[in-house]
Amino acid sequence: MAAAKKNFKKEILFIIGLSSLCITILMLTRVGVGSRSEVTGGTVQAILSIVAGSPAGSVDEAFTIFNRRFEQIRSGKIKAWQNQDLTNQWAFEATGAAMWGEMTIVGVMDLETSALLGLRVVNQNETAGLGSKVAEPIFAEQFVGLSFSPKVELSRSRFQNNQFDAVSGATVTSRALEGLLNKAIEAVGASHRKKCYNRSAGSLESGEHASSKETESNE
Amino acid sequence: MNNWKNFWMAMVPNNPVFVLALGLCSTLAVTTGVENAFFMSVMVGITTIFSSVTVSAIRFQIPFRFRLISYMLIVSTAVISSEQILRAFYPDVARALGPYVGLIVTNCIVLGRLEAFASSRKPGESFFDALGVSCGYGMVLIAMAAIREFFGNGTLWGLKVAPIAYVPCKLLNSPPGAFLVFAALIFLVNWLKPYARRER
Repeated sequence: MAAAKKNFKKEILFIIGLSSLCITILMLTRVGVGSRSEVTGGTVQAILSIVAGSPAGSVDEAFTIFNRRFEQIRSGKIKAWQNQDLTNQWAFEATGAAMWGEMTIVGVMDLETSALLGLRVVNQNETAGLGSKVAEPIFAEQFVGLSFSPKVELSRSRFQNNQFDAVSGATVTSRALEGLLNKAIEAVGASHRKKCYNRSAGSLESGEHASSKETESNE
Repeated sequence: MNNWKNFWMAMVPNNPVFVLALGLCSTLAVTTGVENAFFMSVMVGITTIFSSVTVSAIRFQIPFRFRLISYMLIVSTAVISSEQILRAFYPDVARALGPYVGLIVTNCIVLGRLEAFASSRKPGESFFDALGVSCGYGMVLIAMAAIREFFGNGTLWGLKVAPIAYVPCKLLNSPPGAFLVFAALIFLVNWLKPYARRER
């Protein structure tokens, strides 16, 4: 009886020791890796090509320019960056479900004029030949200068300047893109308002820059 | 010599995918491109080797009643750390592999080798066994991915290799194509098996 008890204690101690060792290894990895996995090179290149008109040379160069110019405000499924010089200019990356898999869109918007500066689909897994056309430049072109007040709209005929054309034969993909874009616009607007409010409140009270880094993951 | 025999036995006569039919889910899902397949097999290899050697090194300390939970702890540590590293240095590959890297934790190949081989052998032997298993897995994965990428997309590792006149058969790149290619390969293997045995 006593032997069995002792044995059990030994086993429990072994499990506790093993799990603490595993936790240590995992923490060391986390510290070593840091937050390098937050943003991909494709996203940075896309944002810079929208803002500057042409993509930067190498990925490292792009990262340097991007980090100097943009500050990350929001993370999660919808990420948002604020331009440090033009505080009304926001870049975003949104990931969401589309027809077959996940789709990632990257765009830059100006909140003063409520217009998009451009949009790129950087990652998609849609039907080849139909839905995959959303990644082509001819589809992305129509988002330049697209207004989003109150929000963007998928439409058969473009009467107003917040309407855009779908890809023929890929209604589900286009609808998914519309929903994703509207979600992103809403999230960026909320972040912007919060940021503005914090800044004015901070300057009134203590004159200190109140940084607000939201780390909520939506859905 | 015995080690290399273990290696060969684990790689070809007991190939994890074609003969033991383990780990089919990830095999079918990640073979859309050679690059994905390569990184997936590297991840499985790292996990299998690390956990096999660890388990066989502490096989006398692991309590019999809690052996599975100990295996799971070791396997998930290996998987999560290597996934973090992959995410940091090859983000596009990590995105393409999706959830399948995390699902290596429940991959039957890893757990099967731990239970069947590593828990009763010396670390050196189980290292070669794990190496053989992961080479066998990687071989199958890369073969399937090469067929699917070449015929389905006209490329290999992202490079255009097919002649311009070739019209890609997109079906092979879609999920049903994985089943077709796998069925064809397993038919080929089972058809060739009796001939291999007769020679010996």
